[in-house]
Amino acid sequence: MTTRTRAVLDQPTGTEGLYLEDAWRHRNTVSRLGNILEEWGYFPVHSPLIDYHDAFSELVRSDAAREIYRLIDREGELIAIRSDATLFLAKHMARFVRPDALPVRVYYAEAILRHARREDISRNEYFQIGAELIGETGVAGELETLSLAMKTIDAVLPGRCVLHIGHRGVVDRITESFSSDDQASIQDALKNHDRVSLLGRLTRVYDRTHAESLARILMSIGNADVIAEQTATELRGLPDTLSRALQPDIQHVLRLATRLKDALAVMNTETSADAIRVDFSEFGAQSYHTGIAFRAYAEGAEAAVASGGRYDSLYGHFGLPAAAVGFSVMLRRLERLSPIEALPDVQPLQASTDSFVAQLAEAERRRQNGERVSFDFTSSEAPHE
Amino acid sequence: MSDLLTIALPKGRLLEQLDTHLQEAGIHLSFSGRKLVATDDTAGIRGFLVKNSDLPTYVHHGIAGLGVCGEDVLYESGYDFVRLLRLPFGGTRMCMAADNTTASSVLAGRTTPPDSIETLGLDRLLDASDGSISVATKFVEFTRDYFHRRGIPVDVVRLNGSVELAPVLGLTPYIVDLVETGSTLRANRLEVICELAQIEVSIIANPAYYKLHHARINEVVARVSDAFAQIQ
Repeated sequence: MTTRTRAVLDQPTGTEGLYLEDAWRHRNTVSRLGNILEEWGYFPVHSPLIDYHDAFSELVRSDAAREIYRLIDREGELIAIRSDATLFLAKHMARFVRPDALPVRVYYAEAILRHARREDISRNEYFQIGAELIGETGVAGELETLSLAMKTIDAVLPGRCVLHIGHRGVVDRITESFSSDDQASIQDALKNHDRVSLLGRLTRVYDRTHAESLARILMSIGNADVIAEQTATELRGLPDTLSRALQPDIQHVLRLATRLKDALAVMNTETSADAIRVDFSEFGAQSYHTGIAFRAYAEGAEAAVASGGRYDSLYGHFGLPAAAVGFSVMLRRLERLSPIEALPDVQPLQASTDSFVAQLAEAERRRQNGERVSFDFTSSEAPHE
Repeated sequence: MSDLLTIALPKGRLLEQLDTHLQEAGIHLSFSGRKLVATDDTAGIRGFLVKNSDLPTYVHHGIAGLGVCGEDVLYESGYDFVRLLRLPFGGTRMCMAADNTTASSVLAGRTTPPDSIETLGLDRLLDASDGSISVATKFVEFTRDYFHRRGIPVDVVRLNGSVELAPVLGLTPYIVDLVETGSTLRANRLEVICELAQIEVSIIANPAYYKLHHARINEVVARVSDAFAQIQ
């Protein structure tokens, strides 16, 4: 096979094209979700497609760094192509937002580019829509973000998603006396719900009974009432200092989950209260997460359809001392689970070179009345020589 | 039926042992004839029979929510999975081996191979192979990561089978492969010089699938775990 054949028939990994019905559905989804975000007082922003790699290198985990497409510009600077909407947006916003203008609510609907293995067709999440609430430190802002995330997802997949809420602080406090290697291993074990590996690491610092209690806290999933009861039992068995250190973040999530259930009841969504789950194995995939972390899952999607959380030091890294909380929706995963939308009917209007101006006037009149009209030149004169 | 839990099971010798244990747990998946899909409506589980090396792909893409697979195959896939239960059977060892002459030089009188490169001694390994380490293996990701985590440069040659031939024919002095009884190694005048890892077989889950069905999955895994304990 020649190089040209592959270039014509194949597609580089890390991006995706959309056509006709698929593009139509995508555009409508973006429009629908954008309208919701604007109704909530969020305004659109567009971050640059490329930026200096050095601005982000400290903030990206090594496994994520390998997926970034990089290039060298003509001045020899290392450039990164947008692979993480939150990161690129944070740098962009930090350049333009003044501290006295906070809080700021913005949303984006953008493509991201990441390397993906050619045979892995599951990671097609190249289009994201997301919202950022910058400059809010309190629970109310988190409640707004979680409610808006559920509202947004529910608009595409009514009543079909569950939301798992955790907190970075819980795993950070449990592991603060571990080496950085052990911290990474514990995070990996927790991500994989690998109880054996998790206990293996935890028992390097904690005795077996305490390690098992901590593992149960980290790995249990359930509604706020169930988890409140379970964690209360586990915390009673832990040393006082550790128990006191864990209480605030655990209580924070439990309160948030309870209030979110109440919030769902007054929002016009089909998501039930059962869809809100407390899950401390959700601790934020990125190194910049600092507080609550959450993911939404839907039947039929091979990975989370939305994710988000709090990142209070991210904007500070770029010079804007502002807390932030936000979320991203993986549009393509959501869209694939929603029905394909047929292209709308377009009315043909016969026209030729001689009649074009007259028919254009007619088309304009009908378009003003909401019709979709396109010219039909099939009965026109012979092609121009 | 969308409310059935789905599980990918590996074709081959592990299946028979696995089937006995699953039946003890009340899960009856009958792959009679050449069937590759079987359903137990009572247990609420549908099973797919797939090639071992393809199993991570099916689970990663969510075609099967659950699977049974060895750590060797999972590691090479590079995908993240929930580890639900390590099985008490099907385990093996990932070992480094060399021909008898190289092995006796590296082992220097040891009667049993050590369980890490650190214990074996990197210098011995380098001295016995002209100052660099070349390894032929099917497990290229595992091998590269094993050495690189220890700061050791390594040349890895990918082979898809009959790895034992590499030292015999002079492709590389060392191989990394799964070793159960060691009879294939002995037949080719090779010897284990270092045990790199214990390889276990686990019940795994697609992470998103687990989050959606955690209660039912945990219940099934508890039943299977109890059945394993009874059979042991």
